[in-house]
Amino acid sequence: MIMGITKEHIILLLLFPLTGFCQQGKIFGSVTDSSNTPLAGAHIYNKNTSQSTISDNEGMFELKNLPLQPQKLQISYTGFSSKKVTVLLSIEIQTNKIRISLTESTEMLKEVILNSNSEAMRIKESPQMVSLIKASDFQHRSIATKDLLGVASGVQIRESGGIGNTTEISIQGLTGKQVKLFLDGIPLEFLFPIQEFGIGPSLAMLPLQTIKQIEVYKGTVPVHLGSDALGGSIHIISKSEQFDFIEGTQGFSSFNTWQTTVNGRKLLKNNWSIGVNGFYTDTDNNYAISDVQVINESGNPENINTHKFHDAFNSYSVQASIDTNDKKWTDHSSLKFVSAGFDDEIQHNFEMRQPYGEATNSASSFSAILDYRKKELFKNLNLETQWSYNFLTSKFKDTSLNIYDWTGNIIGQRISGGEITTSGNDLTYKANTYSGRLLLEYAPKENTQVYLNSTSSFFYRTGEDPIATSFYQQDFFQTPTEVLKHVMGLGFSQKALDSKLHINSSIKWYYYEANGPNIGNIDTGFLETKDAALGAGQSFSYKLSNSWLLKASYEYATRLPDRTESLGDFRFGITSNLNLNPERSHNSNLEINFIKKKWNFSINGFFRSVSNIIILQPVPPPVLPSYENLLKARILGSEGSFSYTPFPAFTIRSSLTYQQSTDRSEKDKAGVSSNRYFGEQLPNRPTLFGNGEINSKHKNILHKEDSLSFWWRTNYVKTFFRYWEIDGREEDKLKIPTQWLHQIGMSYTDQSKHYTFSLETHNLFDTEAYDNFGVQKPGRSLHLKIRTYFN
Amino acid sequence: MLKVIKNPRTLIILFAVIVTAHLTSCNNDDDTNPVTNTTTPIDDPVAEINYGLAMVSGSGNTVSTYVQGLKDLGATEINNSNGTEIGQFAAIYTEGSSLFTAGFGAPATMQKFVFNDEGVTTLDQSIVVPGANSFSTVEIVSPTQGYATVGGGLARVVIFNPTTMKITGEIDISDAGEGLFYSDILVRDNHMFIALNDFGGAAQASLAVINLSENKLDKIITDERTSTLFNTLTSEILTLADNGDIYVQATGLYTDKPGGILRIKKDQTDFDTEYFFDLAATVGKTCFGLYHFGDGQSFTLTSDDDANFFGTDGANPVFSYHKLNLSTKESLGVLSESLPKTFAASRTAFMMQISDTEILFPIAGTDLDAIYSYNPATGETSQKSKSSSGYITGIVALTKQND
Repeated sequence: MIMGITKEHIILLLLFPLTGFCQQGKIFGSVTDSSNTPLAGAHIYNKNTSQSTISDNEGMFELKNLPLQPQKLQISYTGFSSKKVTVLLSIEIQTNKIRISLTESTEMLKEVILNSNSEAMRIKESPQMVSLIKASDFQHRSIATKDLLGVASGVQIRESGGIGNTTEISIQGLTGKQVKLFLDGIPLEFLFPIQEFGIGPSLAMLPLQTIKQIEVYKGTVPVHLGSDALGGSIHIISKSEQFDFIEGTQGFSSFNTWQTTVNGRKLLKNNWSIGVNGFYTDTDNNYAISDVQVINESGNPENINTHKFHDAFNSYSVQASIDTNDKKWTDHSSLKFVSAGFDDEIQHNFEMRQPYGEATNSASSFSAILDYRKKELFKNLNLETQWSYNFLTSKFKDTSLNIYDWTGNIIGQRISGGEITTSGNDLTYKANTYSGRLLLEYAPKENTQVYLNSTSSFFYRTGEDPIATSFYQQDFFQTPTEVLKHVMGLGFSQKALDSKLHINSSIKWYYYEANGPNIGNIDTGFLETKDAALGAGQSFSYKLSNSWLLKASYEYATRLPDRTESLGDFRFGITSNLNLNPERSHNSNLEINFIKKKWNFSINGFFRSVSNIIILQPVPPPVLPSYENLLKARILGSEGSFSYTPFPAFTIRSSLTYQQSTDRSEKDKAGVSSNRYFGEQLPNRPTLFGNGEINSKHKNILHKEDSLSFWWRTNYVKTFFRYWEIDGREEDKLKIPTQWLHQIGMSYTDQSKHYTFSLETHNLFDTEAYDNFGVQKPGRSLHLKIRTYFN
Repeated sequence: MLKVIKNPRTLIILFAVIVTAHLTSCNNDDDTNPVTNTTTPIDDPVAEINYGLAMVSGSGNTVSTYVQGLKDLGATEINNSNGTEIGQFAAIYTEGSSLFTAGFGAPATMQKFVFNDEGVTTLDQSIVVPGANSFSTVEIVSPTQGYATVGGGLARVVIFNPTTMKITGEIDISDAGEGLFYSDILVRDNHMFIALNDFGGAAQASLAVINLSENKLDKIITDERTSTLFNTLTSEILTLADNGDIYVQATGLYTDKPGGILRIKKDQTDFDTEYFFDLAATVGKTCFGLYHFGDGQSFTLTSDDDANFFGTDGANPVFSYHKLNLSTKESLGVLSESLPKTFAASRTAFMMQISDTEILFPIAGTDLDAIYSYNPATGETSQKSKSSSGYITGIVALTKQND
């Protein structure tokens, strides 16, 4: 496998000298106020080319692919007077760096315009239901990538502990595997061990400092994200700065948590650049937990308060890339190498009842990603393609005979097996994933575009386990598992009525083929399965006025069974089931957006009709469970988000989501004998949740050009039942209690803008909190972060 | 020492014992738990409650056992509106007026419930075996003596006092072998017999024999005429006849051996080499469980389709209740052709005699969850109670003494 990649690299390296001479120019620079404070979100419009862009958190912007002639730019920002400048570009000056200083306007500005052509506005105005999260707004804070996802309305993050622990994401009621994640267009599961260990540890290998923005698609998933997402997807877009900079952060938090990032880029000649970033986090996760049980000599439980003792987690990533822009043969191309990994101690079982003292998970991953983009490859045809290779080693070690209690003491020994499994495990999986993505955008005429996206992947995995081999006298894990997956989408986009109306149509085709060891209650052997499905979507957006935007969308979405669901998992004793049908969902959304200069809001109503939901069937011991198509569900809800900026230094944001997820199962398909649960709220899912934030920024605190920010943020989740509400005595019902967590923080940036110091506390009132029944999350914690930035 | 089975083709099931516990374990260890660890004073602990009932309710992957007390078993429809949520799959047992649950989920937890003046189920005390993933068998023999085995690499019998809910001792059975599931337990005189499920690996039936005078593993007895003492939490495969003989039902699953019934004669602790009831030849189907109520009243459940023995096709239950004559080794046919098929291995199976004219048993089907009654005198079956809230996994008769 390594040899194959090496060949690819060699070919790529051979191709580089064939690059042509660049005939296009670039303007980049910064936008500041009169006191040289960067203005994030300033609008830069190029009158010559009608291009526009938005300045980032540092006030930086760039415009590329420009003709080598003087360019007329108009720079505007809410509350400031617009400025027009002409920037020289020529054969001799192909790149020009400028610095724009805006002055505050005393005049009331007109409404924020909705007809911007910036990338961000283009996405916001697209017919898809999408929330944009700018990572730069949060990179001075001590939060992780997974925390950022919860900012969007309709998105809920459920965690089972601190950094690196189990994390589940739901978007408008669809959750877990029904939500797909992408990194720069590539499904994240191709690059990280999501199917092995879940999203939590994988996202812990993606530092926030390397992320530019996150797009949360709800209901309809755009064609260019090629995966079988049932009800939403999250697209993480990496930073791609094209200027010299170096940035470093060092964070220290409670529970002996250290986080370090280094990020930088250097421009070379002829529009080449190299970038590196590194990330390391290490935590003991030894936060306090209450009312866990130790067992006395008579076998009776006694509640104690203690600290976690075996939940340490560390992760790292090192990334190097070489990029080029504005070449004749490419607008942007990059070759990226990523090495990442984690070590994770397993503290307890699913509902935090049984402590473990030695079991661990770990993974290391190496990826090579080639990204090539070219506009006007042929007339009106744009090309974007990525090719990636990933080599993943994952380990699960469960070899201890020791029995631990919650204080970390050894209180006994087994005669065989491990803490978690009967046989004990020292399992190593080695997996190779090859993936490719091709996106063609064809614009036969103005306001009309046709998209074709094809994503393919091939997964091959073998394993070995000397402990299990000793137990079974055969290494069952050596049997290879192979998965071939294709997702193809064809999309059509049309703007009409003076671009007020935007229509997107799409059709998608999914194909899945897997083979591997059969894990059955009685029979074993080798299994093969394959499946295919079709999906389609239609979405609209209509600008009612400069302030009002209406959106509507529908998608018939599909999620194919994954390799664990269809082939089973020997490690977890899950049997195979080749008869699984794909999950299906009718996704409908209706959204109204209102944007004024000081405030905006959006209200989104959503409807999901989901069938063939794949879940692990509960069975009594010692029968092996398997995944089954057991439920149909209807999700009806609404979400609203609101933002108010009475003056530039003060912002209030909030979002609230209400959703009802009800059972619509026919009784014989749901494993029950009556329609008792038909129409009932699905258990273990929140119905009401939201968040809010107040952010205040003040200038000239200690020095003329420094700044000081304060923020308060809160998250709310209303109580919900662990099991079906209609079962059992009301007084005895197990519930996940209402959570209302608060965090406050402040940051200071010096006058040179090179240093930022932040201090914040999470779970301010030290509330006992858990998203999953019985699994306690960290209490109050303190976070200190220092950021340095030079460009 | 029993030869431990190493065949991955079958032993993967062992994973389920542990991993299902890992995946489904649930208990009440937080402030929201309505069941506390404190004893609730009860003026009249038996009140009007004469029976304890457990049912599994829920749909999809969120199911739980609910336990409740009943004044009588006369209701034609039962539900879980008065049931206490256990938060896991649990079997029930009784001693005196108390109800005990042994749930499946790590750590192995047994709970003792009593009933207050209003008949409400109230947790009295728990016994937990750290490091064990589940209680696998429980046998309460007196107000002060109970035995239980656990799964998860802990080869021991836990001795406990059901009245005080204290663990009073343990018996090491590690010499029985590693990686075994303890399927059923039966105490006769001074011996305890533990069915060992090796998932067919040794292709023989195996029992551990414990000497209760010394609380010591006496020996392992095996019989190669049949194999695989497969059983789940709620059902039985060891049964004691009126004359003191023990009958042992083996499925033959995972092996080429026929399913059958073995016997250990009164006062003996070895299999009776003169007796073998070949169920495969006689009944012609794979059997699950064995229940004996004297006077020739013996029963098992038979599978019409072994491909769905474990209920993976949730739309097609395959089990029927079947009558046997253990003495003559005859199949007496199904209890009633009109009875609905039931999910047994994957949901519930038990039989309980409450009077000379009533033996109760559950049906867990696609259209019906119910308790049926069989009259040994007339051979008639009838629906006794229909459940509107889930399938019944246990009924116990409570008595007033000892509380």
